[in-house]
Amino acid sequence: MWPIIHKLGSPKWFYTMSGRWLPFLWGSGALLIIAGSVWGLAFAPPDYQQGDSFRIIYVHVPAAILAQSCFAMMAVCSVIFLVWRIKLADMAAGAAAPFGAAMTFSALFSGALWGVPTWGTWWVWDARLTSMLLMLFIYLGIMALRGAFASRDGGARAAAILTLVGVINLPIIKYSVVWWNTLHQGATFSITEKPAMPASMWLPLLLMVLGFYLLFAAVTIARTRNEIIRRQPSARWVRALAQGGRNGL
Amino acid sequence: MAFDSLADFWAMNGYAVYVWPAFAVVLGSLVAFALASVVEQRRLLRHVAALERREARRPGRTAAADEEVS
Repeated sequence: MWPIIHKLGSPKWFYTMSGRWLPFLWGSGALLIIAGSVWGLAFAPPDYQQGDSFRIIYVHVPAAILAQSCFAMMAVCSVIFLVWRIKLADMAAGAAAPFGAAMTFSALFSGALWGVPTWGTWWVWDARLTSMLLMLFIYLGIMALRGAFASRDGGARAAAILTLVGVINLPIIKYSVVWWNTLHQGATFSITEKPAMPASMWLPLLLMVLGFYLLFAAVTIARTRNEIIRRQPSARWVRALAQGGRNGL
Repeated sequence: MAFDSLADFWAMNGYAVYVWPAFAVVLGSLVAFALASVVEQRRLLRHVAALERREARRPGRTAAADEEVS
């Protein structure tokens, strides 16, 4: 058991293994997003009430889903780091945070643009919107806290603890449209129910969500790899990597 | 295609000012993250290679290598 965990937590092993997956993740993610965008923008039928403004769904929903999934991933990494002191988990959490913040901002921004023609306002203090705005501030707080400590380990622990405190916001976001009477509509996708849209509308959305997940994985892995190099520029294998040029890229 | 003409597509039947900026910001941030991570990796590896060359020239002074790459 322990040798496996140590191997998984080894930066060198991670760097080598992830180098093999990375081209596949970049390629398939980009392909799905291009296909989903073209399909959603040009070929999906317009909504019978919202017309063509509904096409914002193809970036709004994936961004919102990824904003929350990224936070959940950071919370898992934080537990692994705090309990087993595996530094790679901390590096991955740190690498994911800016992407999560960008996706939260993206969801809020595209939602505001969607709100103008459909709700008649770009912002309301309803439970879904407010809890998403709160998550943006928690993301920014985690990133600021990490850099505010003199010792890296202190910053890493503080960021991990704030991440675990912030997890309470995830169920609030998810159930905000159920618990409160919100202007925001309910969930688009559900595991137990059939989508309330025809396949020609939800299939491109599914492609987008999958593509966003693949790109999230690629970005987080690539940024974690950079953090590994940044932290151990003197390691012999990192030196060999820099000399060899294309090794492990 | 769900539009009658290419002009209708670009105009999104009147919703262009909402649809296109939404796509630009969301997809643009994905592209920015992808490009930035690749550029940063190149920069870091170049920096490590420069450290290696500097130490090869002055074998006695390796302390600098323990500093992190910023």
